[in-house]
Amino acid sequence: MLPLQDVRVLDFGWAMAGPQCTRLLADFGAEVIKIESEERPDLGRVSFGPHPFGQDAFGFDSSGYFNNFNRNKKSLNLNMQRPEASGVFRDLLAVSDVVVENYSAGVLEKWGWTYEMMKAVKSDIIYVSMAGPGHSGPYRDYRTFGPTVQALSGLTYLSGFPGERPAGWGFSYMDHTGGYHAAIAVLMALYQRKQRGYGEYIDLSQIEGGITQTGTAILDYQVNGRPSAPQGNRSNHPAAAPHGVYRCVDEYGGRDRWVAIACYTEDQWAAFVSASGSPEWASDDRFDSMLSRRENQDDLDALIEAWTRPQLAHDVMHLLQKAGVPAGVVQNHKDLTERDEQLAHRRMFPRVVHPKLGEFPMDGQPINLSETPGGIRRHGPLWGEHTGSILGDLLGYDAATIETLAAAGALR
Amino acid sequence: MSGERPLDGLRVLELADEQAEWAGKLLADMGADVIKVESPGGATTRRIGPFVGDVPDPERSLNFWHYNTSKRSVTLDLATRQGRALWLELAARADVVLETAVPGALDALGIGYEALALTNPGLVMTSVTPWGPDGPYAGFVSGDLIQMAMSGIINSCGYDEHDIPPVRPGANHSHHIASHHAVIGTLIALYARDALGKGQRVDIAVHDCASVCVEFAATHWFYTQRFVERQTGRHAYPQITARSSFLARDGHYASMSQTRDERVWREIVRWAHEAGLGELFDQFGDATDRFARGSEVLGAYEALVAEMDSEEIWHRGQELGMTWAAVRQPEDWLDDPHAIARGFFHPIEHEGLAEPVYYPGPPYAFTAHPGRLTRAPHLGEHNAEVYGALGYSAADLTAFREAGAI
Repeated sequence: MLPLQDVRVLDFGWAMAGPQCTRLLADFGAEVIKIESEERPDLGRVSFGPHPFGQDAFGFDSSGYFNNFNRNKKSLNLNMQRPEASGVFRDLLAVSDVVVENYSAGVLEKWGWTYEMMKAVKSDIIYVSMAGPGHSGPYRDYRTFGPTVQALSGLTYLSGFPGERPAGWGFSYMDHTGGYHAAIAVLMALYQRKQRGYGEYIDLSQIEGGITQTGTAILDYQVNGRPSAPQGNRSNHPAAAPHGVYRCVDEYGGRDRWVAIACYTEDQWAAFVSASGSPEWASDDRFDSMLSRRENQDDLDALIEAWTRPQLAHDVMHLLQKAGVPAGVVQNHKDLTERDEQLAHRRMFPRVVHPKLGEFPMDGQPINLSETPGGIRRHGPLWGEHTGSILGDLLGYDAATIETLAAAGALR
Repeated sequence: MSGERPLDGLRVLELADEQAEWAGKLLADMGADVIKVESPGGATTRRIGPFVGDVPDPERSLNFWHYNTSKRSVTLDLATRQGRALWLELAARADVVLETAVPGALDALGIGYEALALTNPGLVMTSVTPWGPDGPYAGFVSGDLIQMAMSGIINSCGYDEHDIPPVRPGANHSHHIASHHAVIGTLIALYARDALGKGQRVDIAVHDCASVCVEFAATHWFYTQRFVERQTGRHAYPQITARSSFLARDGHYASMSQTRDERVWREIVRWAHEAGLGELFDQFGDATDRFARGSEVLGAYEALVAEMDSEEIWHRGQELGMTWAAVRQPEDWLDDPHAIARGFFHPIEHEGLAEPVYYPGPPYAFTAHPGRLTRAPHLGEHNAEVYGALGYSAADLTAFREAGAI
């Protein structure tokens, strides 16, 4: 059995945060119905690539990105801006458990739907909105995408070298994380519903989801008066030295390559010294304790990089790991998919056939349940692929009703 | 509002280090009774700073305070027979065991999943490990920096200049990612428990989780075998994209992007006139001209942002419907009207501190049954309460203590 097989989700997720949430639910068997229209197609179908055969090769079915984030889901074409769509949505609500959307505040209201109205149709409905600022407060109408959320929450500021510009995150980390938080919220609400019978409206703010991950810095500011600050690749807490990313021999057509090395304990430092050939400098007073190594990290880092620079990153990792030193290649996706023996062992990049794009790898599902495993059963849905079966089989509409809806423009 | 919380009644036993403390906290803040099992010397995370007044002490770790709100603490030495017996008794009453022990270590002591499921078949046991229970790298040593490197995340983060090393975003995010997956897996297993008629094991590897938290880097490789290039303060991407962050007058950075929207552009020009930079902006024509002269426009942006405050760029940009932002520090939110209006921060009193400390709340506002944070526990603070509920007397506890079991 699939653990969430009796859960039906109405999914207005688009771009990434919403789709990341419902991908987790769909991978474990929830019936996720993506509601899409030509006026509001998922950005993942149109703007976000790559489109391996060109942006319009197969219309709305051209994006590999969309396929990766929407596998196992269904696609229903329903234009919520048409008045005729309202009755369809009401009928869907009556047989559903969860509504997820990551629009800016006010979009569902504009279409005539609030939580109270959904609740009137389905008394125990679980509704998760996940706008950047949330749906209340002075900034409720502000618009965000991943980098906005990261900049506002403090995550961007905390990534970079001291005195340098913020480096930030090179991707929409908070879209992933907003999706995780929304999935957690759905599952907590399902737990609550099972125990006590009621639904819930969850006003998730992705910005708050970013801030809450910086809690230690916020406490340090209040209790010790210490402003938050980026640390480069160093680590004060836990105290560690060396703790850095060091350049190795360029590979893959001259690409820069790096290896991460960290010593949290004296034993790890001793193991590092020994594995690196017990260089003379390592016995210097500057490096004889965690405290002194941390005080002399600029010198330490330069000496370590002089050692790593002529070596292959993978060689350094295996040499140090064998000696018990935390070390890891700064992997790119060639490494992840072709060289990482552990991810291969864990089968993290399964290949999935898409009827138009062909067979490609996907992000695997990293949650392993021993008795009711999830996984990837099917490619991302084609545009409107399930409109007919959802209206006909699930809602029991007859052909004439469907034709009337189509003629009114509600089904595209 | 009833005061009920979504996870009221859920019983969790946590034996976790920094890899999964966040998972336990997320459950505890929403109502689960999370009993944190610590060795008599205290969880290792009590030794991670910063500390109150920078005085290292297991009761003064702000790191521990943040990651362990709303939990209870008992001490237990699993190296002793009595300690193991207490562990088995606690686990027999739990819905969930959340643990980060070295793979096989609990089984070797006879207190792993097999032993626990014998008396408690409904148990969900969630194990978070760096690499998984077996496989070629299962014995590798770990840490957040190593995980962030191995996942591909660091490869996407850094600066336009590739002689500057790529950067690990601070801090502890690989463990957040793993913890989020651990909570999801745990809750799915709990949901399935009724239909399945039993609990199950949830296996979470930090490396797996972080390796599928990389957005475009994955799909560009999967579909077109292209690498993404790290770029300052914006997405790593196969192509080099336009710079988007600029230093503002107040010393903070702000983000701002090119626009094809003439209404927005006219407004930017108006700001420029206010700032005495009108001439610089008046030289540009329509969107076609502006995008053809992209680097000149960005140079003009840089001059303009330098005459404005970062917050002003953010708020005025949002009035135009643009997704621009100020690069804030986390603590900037403490007195922010939006955070206050939403009740995001939860005040918690601490002995010895004159003022309450404001903790960021849960990342999801349950509107009828919201989460609630309480202070992280002192070491062994709930020994009498928890062991008392198992039927042990004060004299028993004294004996346990003298035997080194708790």
